Amino acid sequence: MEVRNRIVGFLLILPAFLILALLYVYPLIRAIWMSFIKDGFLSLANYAKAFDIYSRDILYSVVITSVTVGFVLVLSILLASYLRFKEWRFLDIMYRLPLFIPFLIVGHAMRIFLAPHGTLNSLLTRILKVEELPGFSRSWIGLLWTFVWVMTPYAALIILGAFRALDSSYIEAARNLGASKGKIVFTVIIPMCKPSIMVAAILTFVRTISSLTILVMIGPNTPNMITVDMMFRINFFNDWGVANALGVISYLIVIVLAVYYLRFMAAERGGIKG
Amino acid sequence: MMVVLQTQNLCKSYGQVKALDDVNVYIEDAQLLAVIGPSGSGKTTLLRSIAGFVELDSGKILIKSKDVTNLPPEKRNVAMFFQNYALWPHMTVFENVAYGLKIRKYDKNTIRERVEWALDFLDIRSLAERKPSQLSGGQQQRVALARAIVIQPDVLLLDEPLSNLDAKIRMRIRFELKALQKRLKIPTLYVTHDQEEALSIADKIAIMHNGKVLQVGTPEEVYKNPVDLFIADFIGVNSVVKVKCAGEKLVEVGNLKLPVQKETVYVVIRAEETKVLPIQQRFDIAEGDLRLEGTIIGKLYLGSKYRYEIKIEGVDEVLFINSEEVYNVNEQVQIISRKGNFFIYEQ
Repeated sequence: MEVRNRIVGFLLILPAFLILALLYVYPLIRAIWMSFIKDGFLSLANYAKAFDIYSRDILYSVVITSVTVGFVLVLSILLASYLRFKEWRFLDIMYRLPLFIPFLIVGHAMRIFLAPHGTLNSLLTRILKVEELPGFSRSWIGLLWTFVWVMTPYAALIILGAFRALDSSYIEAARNLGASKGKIVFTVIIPMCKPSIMVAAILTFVRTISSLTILVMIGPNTPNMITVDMMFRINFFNDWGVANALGVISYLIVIVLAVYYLRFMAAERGGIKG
Repeated sequence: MMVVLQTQNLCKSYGQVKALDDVNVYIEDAQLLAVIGPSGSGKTTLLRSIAGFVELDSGKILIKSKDVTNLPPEKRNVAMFFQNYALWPHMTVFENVAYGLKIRKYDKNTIRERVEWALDFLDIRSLAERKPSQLSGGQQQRVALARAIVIQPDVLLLDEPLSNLDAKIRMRIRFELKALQKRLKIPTLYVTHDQEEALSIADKIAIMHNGKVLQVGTPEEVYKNPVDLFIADFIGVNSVVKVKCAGEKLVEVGNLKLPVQKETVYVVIRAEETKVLPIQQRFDIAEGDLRLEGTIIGKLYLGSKYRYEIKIEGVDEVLFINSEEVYNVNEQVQIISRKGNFFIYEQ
């Protein structure tokens, strides 16, 4: 009976396991393997070339992504704090809208909005009473703006969910002892929702560092982010080796973050259990 | 005596439901006012409105003669003890207790001194560096209490403080809590659904039902002179007998013939103060005492006594009376309740 149960259990998970193995594990291992192959031989040449040509882009990717995460967290926490204390249905619906707009459309819309004679500049030239302003659509400012615009609703959704799930008595206890709402956010809500904020930060980081569409639509021509470099290596040079090496580097960046997150979670649990 | 907390005509409705219906209570000096009532009676709404967490439809709340009705919770200087303790898990015991003082911007030394005083007062100094998850329920309760008293509030609000503790600890902490409140001399409003807890701990009791305060008095007053059927039934362990008017304006309940105005009479009999005797035993009853005859139809062993289920001829309700004597099921008994231990209400 027990053997039969085991077989049934195995058969039940087999489709999911096969899909994971075929569509995720195999390509991942193959990409890692190919990143170490140059002219049919095992070597680090692809990595040497990747760092030689793209080290500035790798740094740029990390910086832009980290700054995006910073802005996204600040905005999401502000939004979530506001909505935790005050019911405002309109804002509650509006902040989620970007979730339903494809990246391609966002990129296009932002190109129009941030162009040299786009919506933003038309407005700014009138307010500042100047003739002309440079466009932001092909600069790091435009890119950052767009990333923050796209990523904030995801992070806010996670963070607001955590804020709302927090038992009201923890907040009321602080108010009862004289704390203002701002004080409560920093001393009670954020520390108690730290794990969810970490999840939001990591997801934002991963989604930003791996995005391509927005960069192609609105990003500066140089420096560029890793994903665009990968695309170039494949499209123009058919250089899968360096492209894979760049892919592995971005994996490693994310893994560093994942390890940090897991250690943080373990410490949190350890701290609570004592 | 100075009135520290006073509520004047408090009203609050949630849709059609009146959570507070013209509620007037007050606490003098260091009194402990227990607010009791069944679930949904409005007692927690009353407590939360005093803390500032419920926006009232009308009425006034005065603390030390100052109108605080429209003040936000953080400006009222009342300390609330939450049913689930609401200790912040990321802070140590010391940090939890110090929170209110830090908010009030006391200097470090004063904070340390006062927190240590509160921890000593509640005998939990040794737990100062622990996190709440490392404490037992009883210890968490003390920390929550320390956090509330350390800010020296004008009024202390306790929301079912003992409900999360097991029965044995609850009994012990009842005494401790009462002694503590007397030593601290902080006016206290204590919400509970446990009437025994309220009777044992309170200086005064307010009984709420459907958003209204039905009676306010000392524990003895509400126990001995309940003003209506609900209170008589709610306080103490009782059995209620419903009797329909048989003849013209006269009702017969056991040996008593009562002149009445209305059709139905309810007799509330205090189960713990009623005797169950063998039917043949001679027993002199005084005028006004109640004597009923019935048959035991069930019994429960409660340790020091039995709880008997007794059927009275001609009465639908079954009586539940406690007695140390041993009787068998189907045995005929007489039930004697002295004047003052049963109450009669017409409805």
